Amino acid sequence: MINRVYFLLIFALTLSVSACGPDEPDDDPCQSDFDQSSLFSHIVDHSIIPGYQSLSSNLTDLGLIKDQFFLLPTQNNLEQFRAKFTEVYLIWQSVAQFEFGPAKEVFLRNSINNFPLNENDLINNIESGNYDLSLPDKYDKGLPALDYLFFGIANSDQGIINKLSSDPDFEKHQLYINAIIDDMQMRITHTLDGWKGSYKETFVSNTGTAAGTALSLLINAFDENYELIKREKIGVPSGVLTLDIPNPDRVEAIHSQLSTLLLKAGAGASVDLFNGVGFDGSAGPGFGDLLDAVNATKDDTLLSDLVSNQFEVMLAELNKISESLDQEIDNNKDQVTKIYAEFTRPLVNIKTDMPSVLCVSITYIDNPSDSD
Amino acid sequence: MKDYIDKYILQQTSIAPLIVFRILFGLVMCIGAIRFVINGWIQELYVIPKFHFKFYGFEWVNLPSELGMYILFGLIILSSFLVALGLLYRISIIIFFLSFSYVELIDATNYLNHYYLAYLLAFLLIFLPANGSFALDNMFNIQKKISRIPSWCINILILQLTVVYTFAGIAKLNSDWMLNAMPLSIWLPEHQNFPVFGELFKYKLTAKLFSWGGAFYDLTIAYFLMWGRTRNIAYFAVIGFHLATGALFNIGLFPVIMITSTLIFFPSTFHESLLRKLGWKNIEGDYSFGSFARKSLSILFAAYIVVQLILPLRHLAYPGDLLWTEEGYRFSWRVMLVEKIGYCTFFIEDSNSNRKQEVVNGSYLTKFQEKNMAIQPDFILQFAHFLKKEFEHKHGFVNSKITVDAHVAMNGKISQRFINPDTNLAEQTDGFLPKKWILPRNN
Repeated sequence: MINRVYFLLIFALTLSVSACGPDEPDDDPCQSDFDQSSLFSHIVDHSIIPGYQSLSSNLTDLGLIKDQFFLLPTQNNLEQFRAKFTEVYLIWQSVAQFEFGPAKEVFLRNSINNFPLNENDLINNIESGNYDLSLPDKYDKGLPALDYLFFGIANSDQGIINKLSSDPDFEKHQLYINAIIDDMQMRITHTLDGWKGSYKETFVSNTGTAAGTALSLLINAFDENYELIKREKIGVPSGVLTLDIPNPDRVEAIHSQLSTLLLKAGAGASVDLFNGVGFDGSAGPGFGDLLDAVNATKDDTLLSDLVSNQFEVMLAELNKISESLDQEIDNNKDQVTKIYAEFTRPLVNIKTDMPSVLCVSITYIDNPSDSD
Repeated sequence: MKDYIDKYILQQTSIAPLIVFRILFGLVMCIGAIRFVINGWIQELYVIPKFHFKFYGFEWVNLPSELGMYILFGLIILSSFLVALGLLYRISIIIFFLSFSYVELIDATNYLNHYYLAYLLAFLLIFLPANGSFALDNMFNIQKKISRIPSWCINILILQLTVVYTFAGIAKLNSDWMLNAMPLSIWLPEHQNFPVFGELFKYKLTAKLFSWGGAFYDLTIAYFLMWGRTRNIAYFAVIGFHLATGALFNIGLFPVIMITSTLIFFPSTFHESLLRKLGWKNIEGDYSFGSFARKSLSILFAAYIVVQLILPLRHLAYPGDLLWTEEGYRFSWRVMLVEKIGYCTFFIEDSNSNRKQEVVNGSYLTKFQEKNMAIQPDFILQFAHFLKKEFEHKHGFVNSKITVDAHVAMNGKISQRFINPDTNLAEQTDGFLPKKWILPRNN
């Protein structure tokens, strides 16, 4: 009997040694010499920090212009506010994909851009002066609220000016506007301070593939944001997700008619992050380079090329529309459907192929249980 | 043959191993259920989800109200504790078995092999005189105190654990596990910050050694535990192996269940001295089953053993790669065997109006359920049928057609289409026949 045990042990050892043999790098999808920290540094220094910095200073400007407008409620000051609002909304699209770390702590995305707005909640808030802006699942605040208050609360510009400066209750409106701008500013400041403080170092040095590592956070946030764009900005308004019944009233920024611009900005930001283009325009490593480092191919094409090419096609289709999305849905629905289809195509690559070949944990799918 | 039956089945043997087993099993189950409640998993896994996946044949199992769920868990906690105490043992173990299995049947996405093991052990314990000694039942004269039981009462538990380990080992003998060291090559490098050993987990060699070591351990440990000369070393291996996997992977109670229950392999002298330290006194008395019980139990357990041996092998009746199709995957001791990421999008079309919609899975499923569904064909089918009902009921769809765009990436590879995108899932039925609409694995 004892001999049999030794035999088994020796047998197992021999087999395992022969199985180790010479290293076959092709066979091992997880390992690469890619310097993860250089990727993280590039993203932090050229996208995340400049992005939040720009968002923060433009939002500060927006606050100042708002004060100016409250003092001097003229058409010109209204125009100025709207122009700055547009700028802020566009910048937001670039940083929405970094919802982790300090941003997640303050529910930044939910606070800045929960849309479509719940107008009833908003009106109740203004009337009663009794509200809590820290609830992430409320649709009564952030940029969509400003969109309504400065573009849609009355039918004419003069009507809007009156609502915010002379009609009964105008003070209540001003108080609420102050509150929501302050709330956004507070959260963005928290996020920016976090990144400028110790979080940057923590993040850049947090290499590896486990749940909670920088790569896992980045890819998960990237995927989730891309899916949200697909669903909320295109899917629901176009009717693809709602029995083929279009909901043009559910587009982003319905009153300021910025939806198409914002969609293009959001899609472009995803593509840039993948290709390594920073918020400040500088070139550097991106997810594509990471995929190349592990020799990821699909159907004999480099996975990075496959995704980049699909992104190009998607952006080209997107550039065929120029009116706001609700109008395009009314008049040019086939093109919107086409955009949706092209937008969807790379999803399987970024949601399954990318994490699989990089061996990254999918953490945005919470695991509330044990596994085995 | 007759000697064999005498030795392993009929011969009277000390009850002590069964007593220790009962106490530890009751305590571990009790702690496990309390942990489940404290972690808020009743909410996350049962109350919050709007839709629940079922095991084939158990579609009738309904989700009780939230209060009902807490009552069920209250029953599990109370009955397992009573089992440990040996108070009202028969009733308690039956209540435990029923309430525990009911919870398991409510949502199949929560299936874990060690829940299945707990369920089987509870089932076996129903028939064993585990309150024959060191039990409150003896004090209250519910069960006469005895010291000896037929040896099959111990051996059936040993057999059960041997089945678990052996089939877990056989399941590892596939090329992904043995030749590519998958999925450990993905999982181990995630632990580079592990104290002391973290650095080692970077290397493919470590994953290979762990894969081979794991297979060897599973295939042989039960037999080393049976054999007196290797038992002590083997039990150290049990402790080391399960503590290590417990520290590395999110496997909850599994290590504790295995470490405690494998004590059953030790001889009665070991258990007796253990119990004596707790104040146990041996009182002479044999337990014997009545002739009816003997007859019915031998039929029952013969059938049980056959089922236990066949279930893990049923995948042989299905075509294709088991790890990919998962046909015959559950109830087969396939533990931590594969890493998969799935993504599936459903489309539903009304045959009357030709209205077509892409479904947002998240409107009906939690992320946890969605993740589990995306890699398991029977869940994909169940959800498709749910969608059919939902849309026909809520939106007046008639004869809806349901298709799915499903992709799965397995063991660090690029993804592949998983389900035939042209198949109308509304027309497919679940069952034991092979699912022809699962596309084969290519590489």
